[in-house]
Amino acid sequence: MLAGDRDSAREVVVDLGPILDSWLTAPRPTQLARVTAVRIAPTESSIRTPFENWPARLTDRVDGGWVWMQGGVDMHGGSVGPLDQSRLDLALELAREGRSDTISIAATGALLDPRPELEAAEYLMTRPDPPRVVMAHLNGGRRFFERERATLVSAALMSSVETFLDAVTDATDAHRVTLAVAGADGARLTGQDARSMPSAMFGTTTALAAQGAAVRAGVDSATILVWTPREVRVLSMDDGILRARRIRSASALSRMRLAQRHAGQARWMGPSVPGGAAEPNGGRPMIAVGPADHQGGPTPEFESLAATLRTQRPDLRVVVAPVDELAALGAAVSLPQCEIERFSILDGADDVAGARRENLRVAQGKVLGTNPGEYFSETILDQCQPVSFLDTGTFLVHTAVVGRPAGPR
Amino acid sequence: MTTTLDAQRVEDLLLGAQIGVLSSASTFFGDIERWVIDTVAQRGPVTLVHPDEAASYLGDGAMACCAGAIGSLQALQEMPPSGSEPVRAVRGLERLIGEPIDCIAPLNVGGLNCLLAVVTAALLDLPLLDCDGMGRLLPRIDQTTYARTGLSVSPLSGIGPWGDQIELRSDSDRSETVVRSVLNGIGGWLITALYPAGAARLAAAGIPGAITNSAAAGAILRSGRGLDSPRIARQLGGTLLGRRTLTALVHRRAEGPSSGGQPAQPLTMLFESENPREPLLLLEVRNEVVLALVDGSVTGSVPDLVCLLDPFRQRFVDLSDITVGDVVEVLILPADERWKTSEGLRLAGPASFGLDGFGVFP
Repeated sequence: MLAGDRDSAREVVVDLGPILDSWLTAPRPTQLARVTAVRIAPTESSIRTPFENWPARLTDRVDGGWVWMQGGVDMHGGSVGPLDQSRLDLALELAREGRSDTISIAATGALLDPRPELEAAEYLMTRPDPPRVVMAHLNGGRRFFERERATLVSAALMSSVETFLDAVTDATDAHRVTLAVAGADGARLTGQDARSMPSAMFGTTTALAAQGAAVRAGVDSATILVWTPREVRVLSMDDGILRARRIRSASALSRMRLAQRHAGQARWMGPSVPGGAAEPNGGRPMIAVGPADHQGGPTPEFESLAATLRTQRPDLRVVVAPVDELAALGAAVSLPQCEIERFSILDGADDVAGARRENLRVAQGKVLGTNPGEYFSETILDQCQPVSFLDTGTFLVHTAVVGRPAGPR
Repeated sequence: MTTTLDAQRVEDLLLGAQIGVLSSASTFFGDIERWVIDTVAQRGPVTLVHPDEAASYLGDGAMACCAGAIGSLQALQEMPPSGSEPVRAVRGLERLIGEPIDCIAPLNVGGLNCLLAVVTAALLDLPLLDCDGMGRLLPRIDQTTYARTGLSVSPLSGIGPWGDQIELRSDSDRSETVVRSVLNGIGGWLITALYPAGAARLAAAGIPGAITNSAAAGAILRSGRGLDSPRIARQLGGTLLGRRTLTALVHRRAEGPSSGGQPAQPLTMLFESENPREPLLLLEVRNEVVLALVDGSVTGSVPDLVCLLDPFRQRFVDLSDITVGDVVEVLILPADERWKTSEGLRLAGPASFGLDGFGVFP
């Protein structure tokens, strides 16, 4: 399975994105598994049920029914009494009837307190013949619906991703090389993280191609325009790290919105492209990335755009290469990252400092544990802000850490 | 003129309603916004009644109320509504006042409340008054032009995330204080019906054309004629302070009464330009931006709107989404003239946010 410099390679970085994109966009998405959802929320009725507004081709395959259980945590930490286990038994029954082997659990307020999800998971996993359980707080991302949706997608992909990664792991183990997987934010995940949250890994191509283009252009801070015939995708990179966003309108999922850390900043079309490109972006130089034609040169459409951009941006660098080649390079240079966003109820400066320290400690541990000894951690985001229009002392604590190579690469 | 608001115009409104809103602009639209659009698409266009025509269109005895959420947008996104709250809130208010409500008005046009008024009208098949009480978003429910003309916030009916219903009668000016204390225990948000009044009187107290103007501004943002912030500033009648990078976001705990009774703690945002000769820009935030300082001099202040525009997405930036390193355009938009009077400034000027002696006044 492993080709190329397999004798000298120390690690393999897999970009599963194109594979997952093809699974998710297939007219008959047979790689996706059926999932039963447990929603832990204050009320049963809702403006959105778990599988509502999904494309029919996906619900036909994935929708294994859902169960509401009263619970969740509100923004001042309020909740209701013990979990209603009969609702979880109902979910198990529904899963058995619907032949889903995975149950997704999403609780409102889990970014403040994940206990309702943990307690429900513990109950389900101690039943006879327990299902696979996926919890939304581990996916992360503010906003309940978007987080729940990402978790359902992960649950649907999990079994197929595991089978695929098992095969790759057999090969990497045989060659004693480590395995990493690239995510849609341009960062690398461990094989274990990739297995537990597959929704982090679809729609990777733009981020990885941009990352590869920055290597080709020899810059580590840039505004990167990735051209496609339909639009230009805009990304920003600082010190080799793509700036990430947390909510995605996913083209692979018919524009469903879900929580996924990804690197796309904007989409420009038509006259927006030269207009936007003319403006400075925090002093970053600009890279325009276009696909190569069959002779290795730029396509006429991209060449025309690049010529226009050159008149506006003397600092423009143009990278023309097959997108998959750039994406492979981007995957190879990817670095481990961890972003944690959670709510905390804090009282006083000591509490705030403590919450920030705790977030940093967890994020650093995650990054340094990716491949012990290979990296040192660098904090790229550490902010804490009060939640508007509440005086309960609820804060959003937001932390991101990157692992930089400890030695030459 | 009486017009209608269909799903297409609601999408314009969705963008326009973000203008000047920092605390709860939905930079990334989600399911709550989609629910409003879908509801209007399913139930049909909402009739929009200009305040000048309220009496003739609705009749002299018609009753109106405002609809909107109080509390935190982040709480609402974390604990989404069931969808029945707007109807329950209005029905609760009807019970309190003993009369049916004949039309709805937005509490404020800025942020999600504009859309909640639309969805309330759509769900109840009632017309919507084309006005609002703020012309922007202000943190307190009594910081409105409705209150400025003597209308009372209460009776008020509200539904929280757990389905709890509160009903409030207050003959004093304590509605804001009481509701704010309830808000924390109830879970972080309340979808309310408030300011019950004769339709003509409520319409006259509001800022006329607020919804039409907001939708028109949203259409400018959607016009797709390039990412041209100066054009947007020009068309919205604002002043562009320039493009800057957020370099620090500092939370300071409120000491004593310095927050002016506002439901949030102070936050300071520092912006710098890539060009070191460009001045530093500092924004003081009390839920919304209340002061803009350029190299230490106050350049903008409430009640004017200081807003942050994402130059790449052409959307207004939500405080909860911004992170250090983001590049934004800083824009000042003028508040409605009603806020520039001494009474208006008392209600919504810097002093109402605990910042006596600051501010830029006409």
